[in-house]
Parts: sequence; C-alpha cells; structure tokens
Amino acid sequence: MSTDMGDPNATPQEARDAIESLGAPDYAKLMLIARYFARTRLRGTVIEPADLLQDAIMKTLDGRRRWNKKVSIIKHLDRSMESDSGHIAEQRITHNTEPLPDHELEPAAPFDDPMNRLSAKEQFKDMLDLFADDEVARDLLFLKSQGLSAAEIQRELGIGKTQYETVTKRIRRHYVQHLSVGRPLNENK
Amino acid sequence: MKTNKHINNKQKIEVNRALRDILLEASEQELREALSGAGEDFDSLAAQGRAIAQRALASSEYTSDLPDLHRGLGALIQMLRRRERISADQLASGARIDLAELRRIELDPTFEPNPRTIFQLEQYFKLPPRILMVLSGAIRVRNEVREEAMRFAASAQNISELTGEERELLNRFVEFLQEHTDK
Repeated sequence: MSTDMGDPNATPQEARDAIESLGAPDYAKLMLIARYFARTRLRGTVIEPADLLQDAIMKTLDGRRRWNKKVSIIKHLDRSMESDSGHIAEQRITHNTEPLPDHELEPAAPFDDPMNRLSAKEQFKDMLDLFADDEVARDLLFLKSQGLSAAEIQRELGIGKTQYETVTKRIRRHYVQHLSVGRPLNENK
Repeated sequence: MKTNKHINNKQKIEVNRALRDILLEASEQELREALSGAGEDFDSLAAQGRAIAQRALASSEYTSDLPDLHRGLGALIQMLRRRERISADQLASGARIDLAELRRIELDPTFEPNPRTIFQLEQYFKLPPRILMVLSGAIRVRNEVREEAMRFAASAQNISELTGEERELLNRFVEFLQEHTDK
C-alpha cells in the first residue's frame, strides 16, 4: 500500500511558478495544441486558440482546475484544453446553440466523459489520414495509446531504439505540419 | 496490425492523446525544423504563447486588491461578444479599437481603459449611454454597483456561447447598470 499521503495537487504558488518557468518550446507546443482543438471541437465557434489556452492557464492559476503534480504542467494544460473544448462542444449540442455538423457527433455512451463522445471519429480519421501510408507510425501510436513504454513498443513492433526514435520524429514532423498555419485539416498528405 | 476501424471512441481519444504526447516530447530543435518545414516561425509562435501566459499571470496577480468594476467590465464585454458570436479580433475591427487593448480590458482588471475605446464599444454593442463608462471607473458609482459588478464577473467565467440563462443574466446586469447610471 502506498504510504504517500501528500497532496499531489499543486498550490496556487506552485502552479504559478511552473507556468512562469515554461520555455519557448513549451509555448509553441501549447499553441499548436490549442490550434488543434480550435480546428476540431471548436470549429464554427468564435473561440480562438488563444482564448482556449488562456482559459486553461487562468483556471490552473486560480484553482478552478487543480494541477496534479504527478503530470507535467504542459501535459496538464493540454488535458485542460482537451476537457474544456469537450465541454464546450457538449454544451453546443445540449443547448442547441449551433449544432455541430452531423459527422462530428458520436453516439453518447452512458456516464462517459463528454470529450469521449465528441469528435472522436473525426479526430481519429485525421490521424489515420495523416499516417495513411505509414503503418509503423499508426501501430506505434496505437501501442503508445495503450500505455506501453518505449521499450515495450519496440519489442512489440520488433524494432530497435534507433528506428523507434526515427518513427516518433516522423510522427512529430507530420503532426506539426498538420497543425501549422494555413493548412486546413486533412490537407497534408 | 493493431490499428483498425473497430476500436471504440475511448481508444480513439487515447490515440489522439498519444499523438499530442509525442508532440509534447519534441526537442526545441525538432520543433524548429518541423515548423520551418511547414513555413511557420517557431519564435513567433512561442512569443504568442508566452504573451498569452503573461496576460493570464498578470491578471491572476490581483485577487484581493483588484478593481472590481473592471472585472465586471471585462466580463460584460466578453459576454456581449459571446452573445454576438464574434471573436476579439472581429470586435476590435468592427469597433475600430486596438485588439491588444481590448484583450487587456477583457482580462486585466488593473488596466485603465481609454475613454474613446469605451465609447466605441458602447456604440458597437448599441448599449444605453454610459453603461460601460460606469464600469470603466470614469463615473463615480455607489458601492452596490461595485458589488453587482463582482457578482456578475464571478458568474461569467466561461468562454463558450451564451446559454439562455446567461443571456438573462446579461440583460439583467445591463438593466441594473442603466438604472444606476440614470440616478
């Protein structure tokens, strides 16, 4: 049994310190991720990537969204944006303010988180389109999504460390290009 | 092999998370190269993210000594914008005001708004005269206005489109301000 009785949630000051210590690559990554959600779940809304990112940071700073220090602050902000965009998309459907196109809707699963019900199919299709000709990349992503470590993925796919790193770099390059300015979704192939 | 069309929604979400996690693990050099390859500038993108974080940090510094009226002002403008379904950029352009100033009005309660900007915003949203002026602090008001502005700001912590309930809250707040501006 764990003896760790400490609170894993950061204090407001710890959250502030962590956000203040983010570097240029972190900001660039967060902007790309905010852009991703704005283009998928928030498509058709007036919410901009900057709004989504700023809201995630504000909520973390004022304690509305607690940062569990077991994950990095940048991952916490990623998951915050994921959750917020999911709830906003859910709200658009619930309140029927401006329904999303049919192809973005997924059948609701009872007791499931809103983000699991929305846009999953669309997002997954993007991912498959992105790596349509790259079976190793798709398999690596799938195994990573199952929580396998790098070593376990290498073993499962029968590849070495060098090839693993090459494939992950390839994934990053395609994904960044996919999210870059002026490139509509599904354009880059 | 594993990737097929029969995986469920939760797995799809997890795959997309894995994709983002791989992005989060990128080194600066890799990111620079990938962005450069896509025709985008790393430093510019990072600067945008940094500016957003700095605005959020500056805004959250003032929790006990904040200008309550300005919080109400920022919340009201954001809510009006949501009602009209326009972005900050569209509002700045439509009202002929500076986008950076608009952002600060919306998010930084310590910011002193320019009277011309306030006037332009009142005109743009077709608000009764002096509604925003009251919240900008240019007109002396009773304490109950400050308290109402605080309550309104606390109820308006959202970035999505307005619900019917929020629309009602917005209308009531504008009516309240109108009554107190006329006195």
